[in-house]
Amino acid sequence: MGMRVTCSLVSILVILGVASTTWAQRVEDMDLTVTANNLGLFECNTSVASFDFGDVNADGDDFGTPSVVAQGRAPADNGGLYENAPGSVQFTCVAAPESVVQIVLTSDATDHSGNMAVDDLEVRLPNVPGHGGTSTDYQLFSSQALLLSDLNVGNGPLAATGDVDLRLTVLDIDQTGANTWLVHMQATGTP
Amino acid sequence: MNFMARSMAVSVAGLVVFLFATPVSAQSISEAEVTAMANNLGIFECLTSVPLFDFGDVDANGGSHGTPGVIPQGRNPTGTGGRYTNQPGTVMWTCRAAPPSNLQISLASLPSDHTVGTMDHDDLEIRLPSDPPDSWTTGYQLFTSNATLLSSIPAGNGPFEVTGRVELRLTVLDTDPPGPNTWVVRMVVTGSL
Repeated sequence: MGMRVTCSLVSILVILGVASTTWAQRVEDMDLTVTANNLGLFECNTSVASFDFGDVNADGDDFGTPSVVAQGRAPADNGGLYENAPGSVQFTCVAAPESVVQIVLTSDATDHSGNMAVDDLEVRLPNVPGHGGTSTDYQLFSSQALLLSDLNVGNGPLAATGDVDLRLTVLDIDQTGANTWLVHMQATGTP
Repeated sequence: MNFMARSMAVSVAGLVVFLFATPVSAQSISEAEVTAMANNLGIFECLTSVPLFDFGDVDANGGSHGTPGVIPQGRNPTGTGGRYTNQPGTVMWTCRAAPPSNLQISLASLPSDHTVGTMDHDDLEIRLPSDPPDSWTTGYQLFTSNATLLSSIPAGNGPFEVTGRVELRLTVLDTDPPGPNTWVVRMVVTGSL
């Protein structure tokens, strides 16, 4: 009897063994959720933190300060004129995705220290090659004026770089002494 | 004795022999049988160590935003965006099979599995490296490539289960709009006995 039971079990195993071949291929799904928050990029910086006209006077004389171009008397003949050398101060803007940028002066009288007239300093951003844009001429330090509009800015090779032109007029009536201007420029972009 | 009489005599003799044999079967035998059945389902299971990996805040310069488990890689080699990878070991996969099986793992994600966001769905790439490296691993594959990530991996159960890393690489293109994004990475594991 024992032998017969054994034979029966062997038969069952054989049957199951045949059945298992139907599982020759099995499939399993394995999922993983990945998340990321793209902040985008919108950044504008100047190449230097400060620019120093050094010693100046109302005749626009040259005192040998590097990167300063002494222009002599201003055309209006009310003082001496100085400019920074082209390229001595630059701005760079990057944006991802691409954006149409405008840059506005936002300085006010409180951003000036010293006894010269606040608006002795003027600022302009000349056209930026390859990026379009419309630039304006020199704007008074506290004018809140638009410096540059419709500038196409991207990232990497499409970043926009241009000159920051500064012009200082030393009026005949200006008091002597040290002066500081903090030029605030605000860039806004529309993707 | 004619022919009929002789035939009858043989038949009777046979009957006598048979009757002599029957007393042996007087001892009765009973057979008790039991049929046992079982359906072995086998085991075939693959899981990731975490259900979700978050790259956190990212940008097109590949800059650091301090997200744990994320390696900022800076700009990509082609200069079209920024790159991020997950720290090795932050996401693992484990497969086990009984009976042992040879596995193949393939990507099965569709564009629609980029469920949230406006980034390019193939900004995400995946690879399953082997350690030590050998022939059954591939390089990074695009999210929707339906590519084979690993093939012919022997997997068993218990001490023979197989574990590896899931490596993710995210490229934030300069053209990608800002905002949150979610990808559901679908991997299909097939096994052959």
